[in-house]
Amino acid sequence: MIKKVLHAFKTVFKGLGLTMGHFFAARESRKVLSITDKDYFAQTSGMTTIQYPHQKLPVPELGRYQLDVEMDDCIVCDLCAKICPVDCIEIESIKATEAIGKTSDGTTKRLYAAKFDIDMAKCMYCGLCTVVCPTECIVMTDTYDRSMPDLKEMIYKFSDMKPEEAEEKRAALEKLNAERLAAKEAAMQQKTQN
Amino acid sequence: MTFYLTYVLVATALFAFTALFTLFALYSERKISAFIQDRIGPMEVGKYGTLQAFADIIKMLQKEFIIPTAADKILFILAPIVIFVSVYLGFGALPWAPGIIPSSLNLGLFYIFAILSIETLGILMAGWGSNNKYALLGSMRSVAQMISYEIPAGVALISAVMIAQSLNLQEISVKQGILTTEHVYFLGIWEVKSIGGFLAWNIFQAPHLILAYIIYFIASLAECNRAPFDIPEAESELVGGFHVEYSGLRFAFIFLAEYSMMFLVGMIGVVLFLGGWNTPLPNIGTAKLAIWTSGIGWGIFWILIKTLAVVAVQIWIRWTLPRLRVDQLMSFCWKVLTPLAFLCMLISGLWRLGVMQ
Amino acid sequence: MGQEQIIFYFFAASVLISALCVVVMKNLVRSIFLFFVTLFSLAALYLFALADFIALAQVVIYAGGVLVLMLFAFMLSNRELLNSLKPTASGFKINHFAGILISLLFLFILFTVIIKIDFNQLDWMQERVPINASDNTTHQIGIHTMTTYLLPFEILSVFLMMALIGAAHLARRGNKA
Repeated sequence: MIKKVLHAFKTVFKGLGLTMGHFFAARESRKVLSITDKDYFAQTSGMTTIQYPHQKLPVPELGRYQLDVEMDDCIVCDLCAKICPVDCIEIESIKATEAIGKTSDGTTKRLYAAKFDIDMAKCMYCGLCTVVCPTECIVMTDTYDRSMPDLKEMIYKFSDMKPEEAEEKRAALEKLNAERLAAKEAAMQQKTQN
Repeated sequence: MTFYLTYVLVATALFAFTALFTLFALYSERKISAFIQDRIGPMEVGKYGTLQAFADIIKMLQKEFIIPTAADKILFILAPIVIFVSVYLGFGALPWAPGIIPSSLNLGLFYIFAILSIETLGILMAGWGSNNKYALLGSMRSVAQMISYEIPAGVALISAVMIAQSLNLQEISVKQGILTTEHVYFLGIWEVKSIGGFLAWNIFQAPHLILAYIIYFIASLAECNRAPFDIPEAESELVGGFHVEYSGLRFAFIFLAEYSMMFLVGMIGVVLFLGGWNTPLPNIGTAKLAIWTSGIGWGIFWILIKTLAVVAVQIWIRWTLPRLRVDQLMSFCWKVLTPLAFLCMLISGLWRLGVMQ
Repeated sequence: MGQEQIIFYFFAASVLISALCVVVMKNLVRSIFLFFVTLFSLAALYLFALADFIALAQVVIYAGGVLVLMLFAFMLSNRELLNSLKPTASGFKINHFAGILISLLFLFILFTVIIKIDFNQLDWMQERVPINASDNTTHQIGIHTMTTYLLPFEILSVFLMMALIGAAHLARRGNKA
């Protein structure tokens, strides 16, 4: 019994000494270092807290955080929307009446993007969309921690097309389609007459 | 009429002190726990988070009083009041400085001990009134623990009282410094009446009182329901113990009682063992440090410093040691502390008869 | 009526009323808590009679100890046992008779004592030893228990020892038998 009590007191004082050591070590903070820094594991004492909005951990160069789309390079192929496991990308395309230009890597663009929405609240940052993109126009950036007061604001709209404009293009496409249909029908009629 | 006015003023001042102390202790508890765990604690409210405790209390004041449907309403409402008032009344007999004591009772120590035992009743009231199994279990544990630990605490205090020969806390304080009219011996051999300082404190007048103080300190931790004796609150098993169902101001009162209790038990220990409001600095030759640092202002300063140091140790222990099991708790109390406390009492008697004659 | 009398009657009334409520009340736990009011007011009355040590002992032993034990006993006993204690039928029964008889006899004894005694002729009233509020009664109590009342004190301690041994025996029963 006496032995046990003495052991208890000894261990209690050991513990108290340990916490006292930490208490006094807390006079200074550890430096905020990136994981790639070679001194990262060398810091063994001091306060570990990072006061987040005031201090930030350095982001690695190839950070994979929020998505960004370079619309000029997008050929609206819809591959990213199809591969997305959580269906956070929504694309509505309108066929153009003729080729509307070229991307920076030389692919011809034939589709207008009437709608290109990415719901970042749904996104799980898997990065599949960036892999499948044929023109590499959808990329992950190093921005993180965007907070919005409304969930709807988490839907990022990348399409710069106005609704009237889209309507116009749609009308043009319909007109073209109608013309083509008429031409086709005329051709068919000619065929049957012959 | 001024007679009554002073009463009211003293009571208000004591209440204001307990409230302020609680706010201060809340902040320091957070900071100390943070530093011990390599964190920095509250930083946003005010410079270095100094206003955090005020923010907390304002939040609590705004909250709704929730009374569970199945609760015994009268007991539920009365319990926080009983708990707080019993602790608050204890402050009435504590000496602050030479001549400064709210009520100089002949039975001061016994009075505090009696009034604190009512707190157990308040805790049982809260536990039963909440009609919640966790609350009831917590209050049962709390009361079992407090009643058991009152015995070693009481006996350890008695061994100090036997040396001081008084239950009046002011007299006990006077006898441990340069203001006394009696003989004071350091370790029972060296007359230190004119030297004073820490040499005249009770624990140095009779060295076995160091053991008595350790016993009292451990038992007082248990009486405050603080870690490592916090099985009544045991967040991991009982949610919060007897105060789970309380919210808002009622919870604030229970909280206030807990922190005031910490200060109260710390101060009783300081008065009985660590010289009360006496200065720790002795007179050395021509440097009359003890005389220079005695007086009303200095008295308040010294007792506050000593008690706050004791409270800091309480906090330090809380964030170091894990919780004891119920059987360990009881066997520690009955098999270790109580026999040791009786031994201290015996030595006190012998010391009184043999050495202090 | 002076200040002291007002205070005295206030505490006397609170003792009587709360004691009555303790007996009458149906809710057992509340009645035990009310008993605390009775005991505490009683302590106040002791204080009023300048018996400060007795008053504080009353608070420590009865309010802090006995009452808590009563609550424990109540909370730990099972519900069926408590239900069987409740009166099944109201109204007068023959077994109430004994209780009424005893209480009436006790009342009679109290009354005769109070009427017969002449308070002013009692020895300790005649001596007129003045008691002040600032007197240190503890000192006197200590000296008297160790000299004049040593035998009753020792008998009481033997009695308490018996109670302790009995309690220990009851607690051990599970292990042995």
